[in-house]
Amino acid sequence: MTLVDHLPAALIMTPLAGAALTFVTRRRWDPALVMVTAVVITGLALALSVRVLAEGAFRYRLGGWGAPLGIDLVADGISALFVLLAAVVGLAATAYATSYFGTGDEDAYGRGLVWALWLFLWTALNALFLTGDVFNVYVCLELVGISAVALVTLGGGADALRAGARYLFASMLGAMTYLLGVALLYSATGHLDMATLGSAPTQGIAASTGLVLMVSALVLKTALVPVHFWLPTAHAAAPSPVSAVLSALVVKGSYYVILRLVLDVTYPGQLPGLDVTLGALGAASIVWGSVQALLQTRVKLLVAYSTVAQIGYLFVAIPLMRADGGIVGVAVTAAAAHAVSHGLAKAGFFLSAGSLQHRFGHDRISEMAGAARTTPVLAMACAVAGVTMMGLPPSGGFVAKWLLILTSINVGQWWWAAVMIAGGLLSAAYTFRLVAVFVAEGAGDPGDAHHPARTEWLPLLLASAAALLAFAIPQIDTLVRIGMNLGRAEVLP
Amino acid sequence: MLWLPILIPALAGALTFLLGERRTRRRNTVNLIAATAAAAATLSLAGAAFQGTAAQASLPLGPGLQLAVRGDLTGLLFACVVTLLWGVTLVYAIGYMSHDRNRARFFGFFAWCIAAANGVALARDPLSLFVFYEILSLCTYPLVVHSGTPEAIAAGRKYLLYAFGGGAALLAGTAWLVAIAGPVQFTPGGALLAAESHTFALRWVFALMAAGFCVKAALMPLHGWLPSAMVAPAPVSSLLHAVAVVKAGVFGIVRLVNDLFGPELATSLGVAQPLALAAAVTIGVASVIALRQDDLKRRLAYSTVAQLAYITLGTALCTPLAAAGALAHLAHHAVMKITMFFTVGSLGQTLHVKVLGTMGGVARRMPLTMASFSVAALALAGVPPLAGFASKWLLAGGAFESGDWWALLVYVSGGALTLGYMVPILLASVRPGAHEPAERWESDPRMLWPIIAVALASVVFGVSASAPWSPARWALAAVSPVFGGWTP
Repeated sequence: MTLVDHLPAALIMTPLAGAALTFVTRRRWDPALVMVTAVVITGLALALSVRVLAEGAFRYRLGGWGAPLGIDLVADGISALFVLLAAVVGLAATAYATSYFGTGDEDAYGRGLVWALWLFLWTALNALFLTGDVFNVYVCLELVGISAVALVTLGGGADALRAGARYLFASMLGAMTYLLGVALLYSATGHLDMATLGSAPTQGIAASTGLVLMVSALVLKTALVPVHFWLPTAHAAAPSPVSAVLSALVVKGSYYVILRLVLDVTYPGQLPGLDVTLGALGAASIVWGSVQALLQTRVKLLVAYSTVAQIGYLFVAIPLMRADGGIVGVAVTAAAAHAVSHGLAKAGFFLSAGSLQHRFGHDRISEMAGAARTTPVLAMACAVAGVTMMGLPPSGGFVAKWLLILTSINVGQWWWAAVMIAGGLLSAAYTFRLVAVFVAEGAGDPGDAHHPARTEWLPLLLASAAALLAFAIPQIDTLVRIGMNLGRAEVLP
Repeated sequence: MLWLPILIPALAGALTFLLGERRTRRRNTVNLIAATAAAAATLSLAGAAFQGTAAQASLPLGPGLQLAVRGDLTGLLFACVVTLLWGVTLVYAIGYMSHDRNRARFFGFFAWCIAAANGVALARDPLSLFVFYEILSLCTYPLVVHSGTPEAIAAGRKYLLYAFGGGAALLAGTAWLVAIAGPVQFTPGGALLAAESHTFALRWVFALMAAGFCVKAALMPLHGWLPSAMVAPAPVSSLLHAVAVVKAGVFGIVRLVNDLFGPELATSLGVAQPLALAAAVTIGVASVIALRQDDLKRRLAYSTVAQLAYITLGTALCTPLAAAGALAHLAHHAVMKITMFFTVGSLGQTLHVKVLGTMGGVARRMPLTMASFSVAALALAGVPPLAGFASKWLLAGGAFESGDWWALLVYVSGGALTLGYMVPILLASVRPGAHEPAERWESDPRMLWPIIAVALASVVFGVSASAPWSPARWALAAVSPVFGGWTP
């Protein structure tokens, strides 16, 4: 075994080791230490993608035991893609955070605890993306949830604590429900490994109930309407680099598990009505989230509601993925492309919202007139991120939306297309509501202090990457199809 | 090579943003060099297209999805108009905007608009066209709201409402089209032979796509955004709201009728006739409204609405001469209307004259400018031997050819109305008034010379309409394959 064979383990161990190190090193070294860790993780994530592209999906037996006794890590195209997304967003958020948490007084943000928590969160996310069995998913979800809640409350203040408490409640409820589902599934099948579960699907009420509970729990954790109540406040109250990570990565974590369950564990028709229900909830999220975003008076809440809406597209993709009785590869690619595109753009959006909030001293939309003149890079970052939200070319969101619209017309379910087109118009409305204030005549920000360049160029860079992602979709398509469970049925072109 | 007309302005725009607000000279240099390079690239592509080699290139965007461009005569005619006028407008804009704020943003988005318009011109298939069409919608917004006044913001909101509404219709139509006919490419004479049996779906596809294009083409009743968008600075009104953006709309209609459905299918489905009717009504109503506008820019805007409808009507009549006339008018109207918008911008910037009533004496204060305006105004009304006459002659020939006498009547009365709304401007300018010759004549030379240049173009295009390189000839060559190799 060479080093590259240990990539999955290394991707989990590196952030964990970094987190541990932050406790023993001096606090002023923390930012540098975390930065180095983030760079290493990004390198490892790239290496993982390259390896999966070159040699295909592979399983890694942690400690050499192997399923069903030991823990298996699975690296295939989709997991490599999500790990890479986490690495890119994580690296940018870390670089931004070294400025964000570096300013102000020493005691803020948990006396340096923020760095350890962030690396724990990253550890748990990587583990979630790489794990191959449904019980480990539970463990990872718990770790993600706990570190995320802690990060939200770090800023202190009544708002953050209230939002954190709500978030904690949703997170715990979700985790417990998920665990109950796993227990039922295990009692019915005797398996926890996803591939094993998928290859020998079991009929029966216990297995089905288990799966329904698991999916419901994940829907709660992904904040689909009507169980989105915890997301907007939590994502808006958190410190901005944390908001970016929560919106870009954490909600994608639970969605990733749903994707896994849909693609690998359940078979079409096992849970009649589940796909359509998820799609309908997704459609409701698109409309409700966008309308709420349109009504918000604060930038961060607007961005947070936009997350609720954008998550909806990922769920509308689910009924389309299995529309022909098998798995429609195009719809899976579209969902993955949308997840990546939204991840990058939303991280950029939140980071620039954070910088705007920092410069203006508040995040009230109505008082930000003139921002396009005094903070042109930040205004541009918001607008460019908006292009992805609207699903306009040449963003990755556009390709995703086009593929989904085309699939829905192809399979005769045009109503999904109608919802997506309407959702695009609504997101244009809320984006331009913000942009119109920026370009209006006004005083702009006070502009009295020096701000590091990375606080404005990083958001723009992330947003631009998302806005130009269309040109990288062929690569994403290739990657996603590696190891995908497409053998079960005919695949549409 | 084919990407250059898109890539050069796109990069120039990005560079303009990076240079920032204060490096004025470097920004101007970058933009002017880019405009020259883009013009050279477009012209050499046109040369190749005349040799009969329509090159193409594509970039994959996902499974079964490509961004593709092709250099055919129809597309390159539009691309040449946009790119050549970009250079002229840049010179004008550098003079016009010399004391304005937010110039980096202005020139950056301006260049991106050019890139997107060239993309619309060169797009090989409906989806690629949609991609560039939407980018054009987006990049125009910051230019409309440039001044940041409440009025501008309101105009911007109205613009977005129309543009994205149209974009959604276009998206729905394109997706439906691809679902029933597969990944079709624009082909002279029509590309939908295989899908002809889906008459119900095809009618809807045509309606949705035409609605999407008609928003930018400002066909009534979808024209509301254009007069309010006149709040933008004059270079924007000149190049975008007389050439690039609105022409992207009519160009879309040309592609839709000539190269996607084909004149035959469009006629047999019965979808071309309603479009022609809407265009005819627009010509009449918009011209009458133009008569009553006191604000110069609004008067020109309604004139644009009417003149764009000429192009739509010519295309929708589905005869060779009418289609050629439409395409020629696309180029001719561009040089004529840009002259007028330049002039009105000059008057506003130099003399603060914005309405008809205060124009007295400007012809003596700015004789060259007003002479250029007069040439363009007469050309627009179709006075021979100027450019407008050449295209309207072809259009009338087309109506004659198909026996659509009513269309002929529309053209003639439209021409009379054009004189009706143009002559008052000329008369007002020679009337005695406040603007007597001062110590300084004319305006900033960077604004004067572009006006003279484009006015000359509307003379030259008309006088040498039979020269092999003229837009009229070019248009005839471009529509020839649409009608099975037809020659006049």
